[in-house]
Amino acid sequence: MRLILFITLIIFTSNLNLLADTNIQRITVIAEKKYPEARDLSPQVSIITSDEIKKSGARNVAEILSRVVGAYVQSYGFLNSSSMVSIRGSSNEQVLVLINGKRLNSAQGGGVDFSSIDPDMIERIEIIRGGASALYGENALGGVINIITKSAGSCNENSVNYMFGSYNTHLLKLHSAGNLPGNFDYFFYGSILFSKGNFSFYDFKNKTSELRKNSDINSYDCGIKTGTYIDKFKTHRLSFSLLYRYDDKGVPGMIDFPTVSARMSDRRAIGQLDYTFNKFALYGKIDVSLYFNYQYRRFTDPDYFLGKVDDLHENKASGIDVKIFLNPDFYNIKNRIKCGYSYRYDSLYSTAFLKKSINNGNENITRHAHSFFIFDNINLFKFSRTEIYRVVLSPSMRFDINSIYDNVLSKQVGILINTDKEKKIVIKGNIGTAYRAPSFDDLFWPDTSFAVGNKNLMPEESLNFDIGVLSLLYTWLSSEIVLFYSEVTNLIQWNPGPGGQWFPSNIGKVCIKGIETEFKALLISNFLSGYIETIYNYSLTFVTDKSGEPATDGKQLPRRPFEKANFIMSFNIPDCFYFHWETRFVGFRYLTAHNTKYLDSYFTHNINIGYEISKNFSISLIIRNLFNSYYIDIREYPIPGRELMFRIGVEF
Amino acid sequence: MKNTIIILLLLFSVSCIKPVQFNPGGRPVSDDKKNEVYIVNSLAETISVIDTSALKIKNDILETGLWPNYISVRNNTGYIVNSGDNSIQIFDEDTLTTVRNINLGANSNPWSLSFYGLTDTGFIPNFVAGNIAVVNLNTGAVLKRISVGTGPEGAVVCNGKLYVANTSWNYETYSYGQGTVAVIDLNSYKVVKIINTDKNPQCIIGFDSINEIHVICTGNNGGADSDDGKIDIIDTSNDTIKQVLDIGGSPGGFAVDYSFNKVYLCGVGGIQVYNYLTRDILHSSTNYLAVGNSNDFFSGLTIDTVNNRIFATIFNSDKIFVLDRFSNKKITELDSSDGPINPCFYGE
Repeated sequence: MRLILFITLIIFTSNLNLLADTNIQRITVIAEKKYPEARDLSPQVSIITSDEIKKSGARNVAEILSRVVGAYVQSYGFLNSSSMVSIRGSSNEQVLVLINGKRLNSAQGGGVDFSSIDPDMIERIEIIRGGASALYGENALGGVINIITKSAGSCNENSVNYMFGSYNTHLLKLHSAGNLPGNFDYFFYGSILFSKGNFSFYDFKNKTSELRKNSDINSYDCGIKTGTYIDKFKTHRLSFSLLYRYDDKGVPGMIDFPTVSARMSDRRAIGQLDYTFNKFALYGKIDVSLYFNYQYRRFTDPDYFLGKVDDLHENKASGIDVKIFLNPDFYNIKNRIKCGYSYRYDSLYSTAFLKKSINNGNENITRHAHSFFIFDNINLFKFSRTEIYRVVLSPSMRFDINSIYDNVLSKQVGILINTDKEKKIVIKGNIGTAYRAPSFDDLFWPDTSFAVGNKNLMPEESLNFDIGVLSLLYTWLSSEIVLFYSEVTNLIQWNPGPGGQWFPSNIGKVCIKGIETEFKALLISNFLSGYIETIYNYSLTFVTDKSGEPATDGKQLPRRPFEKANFIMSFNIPDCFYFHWETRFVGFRYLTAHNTKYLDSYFTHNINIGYEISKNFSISLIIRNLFNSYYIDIREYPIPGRELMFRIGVEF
Repeated sequence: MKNTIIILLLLFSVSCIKPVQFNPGGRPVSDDKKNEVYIVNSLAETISVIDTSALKIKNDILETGLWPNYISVRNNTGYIVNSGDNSIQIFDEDTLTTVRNINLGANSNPWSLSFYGLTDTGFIPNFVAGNIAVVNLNTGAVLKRISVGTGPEGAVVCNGKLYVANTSWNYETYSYGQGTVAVIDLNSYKVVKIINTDKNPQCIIGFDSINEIHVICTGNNGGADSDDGKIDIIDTSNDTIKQVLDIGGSPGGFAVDYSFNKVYLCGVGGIQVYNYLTRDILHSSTNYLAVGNSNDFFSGLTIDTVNNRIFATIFNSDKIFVLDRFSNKKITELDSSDGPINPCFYGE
């Protein structure tokens, strides 16, 4: 397979000179002007646009994130199965996930399942690689994934798409955007997904083909985002969004302990009311945001091997964010200051926890969090006649006060250097601290014979450093090379305590270092007015146990691949045709902390071919796992082979 | 341009890191295959071997299946119980290579293994399935599955009967129900009696010579109420409990020193000892045999009757403590692989 990649690259690169010399318009690889570009931000950022999402044919956000350098997606199986993301060798829980700036991570813990996020509602995903607690607070230890949903301004379409394909999967999507009476603009989306899901897989252990049963899913997803300016000068804007999702799905569990009857029902509602004052202090801005986040999960398994299970978990969160943006000049130095305060209230009702009194008999576990933060973007100097064109210093600080663990002060300094006005060379570096808060599960897991939580846990902490160079090597080729290093202390690890009872404590220590590279190339062909763009990225990550335990010290943490790479090639004829190819490589991952067992590396290949029959009517074919590779991300959780999906779309 | 292409081609050369392959096979002291202790490394999913004469250990000599839980060696053949794989992995003790696996079926969750004397028949309590599998270890045939109760863990053949300890773990209430011992007639392979025991019976020791089985009831197995370990002594002539030893702690494993009539128990905090004839409790939870730290989890014991040593595995610190069999003093400690449990001495 590597040979195919070599040949593809050689053919591709051999044509570059010819095509690059053609005097035709240049399409920038990153062209979003509404938002800052990665080249303008000091953190190491990857950005995925709605156009890239559309071309990828991804059915959920997990499938999209797998292409991001440094991000590793682990899937528990089919479309209905949990898919978790780690960044730069972090755990799933060390990744902060935001939807429109509001955290999706529940206080209960367990990370965010990206299989339950519809990619079609997304305008843009920003992935900050590396710790960023000084900007975003808890859980931003490995990185931050900020999902920005579409709004009327960013998406001006009414469309219906119907997809059907392998394993009796049917997906219907509706989008609508426009204006309502009273100067309200709106964006609405809705989707319905049905799939029987049963798929055949290869059982590596017994070397037989088996059928994975109970992988069905019924899902309903909808959302609306609306807003209006409440004065004629457009200085005051009020906006509101509501996202709702319902999933009912089978969760068949491990191969060797099939809990075939197990089912999971998830509901999620996220509401947000924003007020923006655009001309505060002349050029400044104030954002005030009220929000709530409700996540419901019911897990049932009448045939669970240890007895019947019917557990219900309700995570509720609500809060307020106040952000003030100011642009003062001090001694002719331009500053862009963002400061603010946020309050969040989390509560958990869980029948699993109620089985043992863990909260003085109270039904809910709760916490209150207050945060104060300040971020500055200081344009230190801007000389046009020197080699260094611009230097931007970005110090930030955040103080988190939490009712159930110690207060945390996070600090970070970023630097961004442009060597020229066109930003052909951008050097970026960051140093700072980050943390992950102990979850409710870590703190309050009920005292059973197998495990018990630890109320005295402290947050996991890290010191992070990275430096990267973004360069525009040619008009058609850009590159990014980043080196990173971090030390994580107080890592929360569950280990057997007295009597074999598993118990979490802050004993782990990890050193993470590695390199991330990404190359983006753009070709434009006169032929058929099409163009080809490609992305290749590769990350090498060493996540080394430094706990001092003789059996594990110096070993790579389990389930962290050393290597990961993506190759993406897309041929586009605007408003007519596109052909999108993605190849993903995941290196081997150790299964045990002692590094005695591992899962093999694998390649997967996906394609998406789309054709616009008319202005309003389009079709596409999506093939995932083109060569029917047998692989797994999580031991004992098989993944389907080749999947086909057809799409028919109408715009009006 | 040429340089760029070369750089890109190099970057395409993924998969440059290869997994570290541990060196399977081999022994701590070459060619010395006598008097060894085998250890299951439950987290590393391997086994280790100690040369008990030289007191040298070689870790990770053989890869096991998923969640290995128990090991036993006899007649140059080793048997590993893989709880996660639902299998018995049989290996050649001479070459330290896997010969074959016996699949017990999904949702079995085998816990341990008892032999039927010197025959090829083995009894495997299946924790999840709630039965005991009768297996021909030579052919790999599963001959019978006998339902015995909830959460069986330990089994032993004594005075012509098979005794199986049922922990009665209840997931819904996160607690142990009524512990029982199922008595199985080995002619009819039928459960002939259920004996109620103290909480959480995990292991059984058979003493044919005195017509007794000793049921190790672990109790609450850690936590605030965990100092409730008991030994229920059952008379095998009438299968009734005739005495209960209130030994405390949370004993979950054992080794018997027949020469000194001692039973060594392991679990939380240390090692407990009692005399199985006189019933004298030599070390209870109030005066553990002090060889480790207070929070050490002693996950297994075995006695080397040739070199007169006791080997104790410490799960949390990945250590093997070596004690003098007579003085019970610690001689040395060895570094094991990850998560050592249930050592097994295989002597001349």
